[in-house]
Amino acid sequence: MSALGTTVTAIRLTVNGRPREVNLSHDMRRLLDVLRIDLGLTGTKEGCGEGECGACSVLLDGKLVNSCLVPALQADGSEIITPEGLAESKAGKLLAECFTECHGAQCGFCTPGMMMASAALLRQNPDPDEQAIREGLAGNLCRCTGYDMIIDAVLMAAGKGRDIW
Amino acid sequence: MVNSVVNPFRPATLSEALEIRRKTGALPFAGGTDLMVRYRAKNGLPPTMEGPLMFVDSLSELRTVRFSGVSLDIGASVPLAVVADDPGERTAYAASGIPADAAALAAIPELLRAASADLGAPALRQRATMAGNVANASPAGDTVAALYALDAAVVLTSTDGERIVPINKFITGPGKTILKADELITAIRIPGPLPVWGYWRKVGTRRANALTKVSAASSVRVEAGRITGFALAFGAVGPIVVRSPDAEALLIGKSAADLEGSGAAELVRAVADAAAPGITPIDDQRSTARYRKTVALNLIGEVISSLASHLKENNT
Repeated sequence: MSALGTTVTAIRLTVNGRPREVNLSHDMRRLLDVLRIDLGLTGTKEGCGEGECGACSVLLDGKLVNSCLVPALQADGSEIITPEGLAESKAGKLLAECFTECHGAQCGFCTPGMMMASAALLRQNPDPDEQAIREGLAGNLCRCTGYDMIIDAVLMAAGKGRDIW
Repeated sequence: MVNSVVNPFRPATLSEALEIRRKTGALPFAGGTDLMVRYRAKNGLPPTMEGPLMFVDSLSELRTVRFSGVSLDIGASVPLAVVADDPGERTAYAASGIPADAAALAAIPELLRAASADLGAPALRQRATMAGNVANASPAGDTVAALYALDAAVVLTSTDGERIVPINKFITGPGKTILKADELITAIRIPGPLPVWGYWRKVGTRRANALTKVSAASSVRVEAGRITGFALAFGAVGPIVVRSPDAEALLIGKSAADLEGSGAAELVRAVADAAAPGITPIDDQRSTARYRKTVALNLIGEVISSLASHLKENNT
């Protein structure tokens, strides 16, 4: 304890529905590193590390964030959904099926982030048009597909999913 | 251990935050979308910043949006997703119990909404704040250019009280502000009467997450079919955002008819000539001085033609 603030090195997170406690080795440790290194959830990728590529996208209390820019300490007490958690849900399974069917994944590095952004978009807007999908995924870079196949995948998922988001 | 321990303060109330700021001068950290990049280390490692640091993202006093009926105060920790009106964000915010009612959110000028929506991407806007954009004081800051065109002010609070500083007095150079070591930005104030029309255009290499090469922002007030207030601001064309008072004056008193036909071309040229001396961009990794100046001056034509269409459509 200091006179003014509380010294905290342990944080509590609910990750994919499971309560987790993490002792931070550094108090500015990034949420991305806590997920990947401390918790072994390597579905979340580090691409640019500067919030430009979206490979590290996760849901923090239901909101899409770049986990490379969020100090884990700021997420103390929050609920996090990572690509692993999404993959177990109906929404994640349908997205995976549609990405596969539309060839929306090639090298696969951006895919977890793309699916997180797609899920976040479909939660807000279950019937997006192409423009809305492009805006929803605007923060996610893909260097393989040229994007059109990813857009197709999200359109297909929206058509099939309806009430599962 | 490579990195020193930062031990960020995590105040629960504004008064606690102001006390910490006075005693330690701790760097305010809201969404961190600029700071985490500025201090970025190698992959897998925490940022290299050294304390003292203070998280202000969850202070409820800084998360309000209030409309007095005349002026609008947007709290310093309101996420840009709300200002940008990203899908579902304003509805969720208004329903969250934070004093930010639908009327206050609806009063956010379109110009500011549009500039916020061009900043970053949906995930970045969940954490980024307008106050952070202002504190960062980059001439390329997208909300900053819009705020100059709106004659916005910055609400600064310390344990001694509050002062309201116009944004063009608050920012003194690239990355430089007059924020005192014991002060916090608590809100951004848009003075009324709020403008009826706004223009925003950002030119960057990519639609999302791109730093601006050049931007133009304009806000207009109209009474009885005549322009009574006209503001024109350019981003990334000098060390600070540039307003063009001489150019602005040329639009005052004009009506829709003056902005059309052969007179319009002459007016556009005159406005561009008046604005040109103030537009002094540089060459850097994002663009060249020549490109920036050419685009900025060309955008004046688009500002005036869009304004003409607006005036015609609204029969004002």
